[in-house]
Amino acid sequence: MPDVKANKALRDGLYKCFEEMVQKAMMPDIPIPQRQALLNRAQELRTQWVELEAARFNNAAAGISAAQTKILESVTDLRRATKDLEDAVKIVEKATRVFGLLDKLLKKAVKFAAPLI
Amino acid sequence: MKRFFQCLSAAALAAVLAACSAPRDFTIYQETIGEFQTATDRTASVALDYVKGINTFERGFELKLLREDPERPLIISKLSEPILSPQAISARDRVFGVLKQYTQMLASLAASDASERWKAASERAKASADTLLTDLNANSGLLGDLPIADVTSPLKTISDTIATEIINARRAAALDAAIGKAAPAIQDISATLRDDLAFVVRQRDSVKQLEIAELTIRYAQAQETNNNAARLNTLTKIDQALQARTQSLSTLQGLVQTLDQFDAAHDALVRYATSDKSPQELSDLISIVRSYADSADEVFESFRKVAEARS
Repeated sequence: MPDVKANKALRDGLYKCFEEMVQKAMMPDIPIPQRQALLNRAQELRTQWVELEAARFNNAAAGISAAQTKILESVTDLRRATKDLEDAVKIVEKATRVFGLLDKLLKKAVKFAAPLI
Repeated sequence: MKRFFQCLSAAALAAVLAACSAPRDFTIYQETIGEFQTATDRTASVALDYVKGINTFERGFELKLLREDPERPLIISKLSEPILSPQAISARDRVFGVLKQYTQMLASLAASDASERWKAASERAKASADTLLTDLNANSGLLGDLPIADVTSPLKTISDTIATEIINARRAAALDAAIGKAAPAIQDISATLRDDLAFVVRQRDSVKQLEIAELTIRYAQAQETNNNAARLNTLTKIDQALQARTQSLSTLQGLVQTLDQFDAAHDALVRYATSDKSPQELSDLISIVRSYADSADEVFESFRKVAEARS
């Protein structure tokens, strides 16, 4: 694997050189031995380009893992937000029942107390 | 008159049936999310197949060069060591699973009716607390020494708190924070996957270019030696290679474009999840997701044909 940390521009530039070399190897006005030499050089350039791309692919795994962690945290946050809301609905429904019950008790107590006053 | 009523009844029945058969927005939304998930599954399966094939393809190409060139030095590591590490490939494998998990969560939260249930439940609770409060105040004289004020004051606070719907605000903030955290990470992943696919496109296309260039040299050699049969045979091969290159490029570039549409569909889903979910917003989401789903279908079909032709 190459030691240099190749950026995208360098990788793209190398691939462009490869394509230019292939185009030249196809030119009918160039003598056959030279065309063969250009083709061989294009193959070498391709090999170098593949090595740079493979290095990028392997190095990107760490970045992907970090991004994955962020997304998983986000999934947990979303799940919690949903659960919080569901819990809140349950609490409010219970509170409504308690208020209603207290109101009924109050009315019964008032009915009971009224003749005594 | 009887006929008029028959017609009227038929019209009423038709209207009722139409109302029953018209899907609710929620159903349409669920269908759209289903399409989004299917499209992502298909894009993932095709993309992963290509990415996983990078090692095999490169090894196969090296073997081809060794067979064709007796002078080529045999570097054993080129055959024994894969150019992509298993860890890096597994990372790509996992990443689509995580993306799917996230979009499912986002989708279910956007579709959840919990906020509507909260609104209805809190309105009922407020009405109930207010009734109790009114009755307590009205009957305070009758209840004599009971500490009514100790009850009415907290009850009033509860009623006011419910009215402000603070939990709704907390939920929206939690949703925004979660999306805010995930969005850049999804962009990073999407950019990396796009680089991976660009690698695949060029890896396959570069070999096709070399093959065509080699054939043109053979064609020139046949011309020089006046070997017409070899010349015509090579011409046929050049034609086939050019056609194969066009087809392969179309499938692979379609896959890269599908990834662009995944980004657009994800953005639309985020917009919808954080919106008021109006019919217009739903309609925007549907059209973007449908375009993504159509594109994913096309790529999947094209890929299936290429795979069938290979086997």
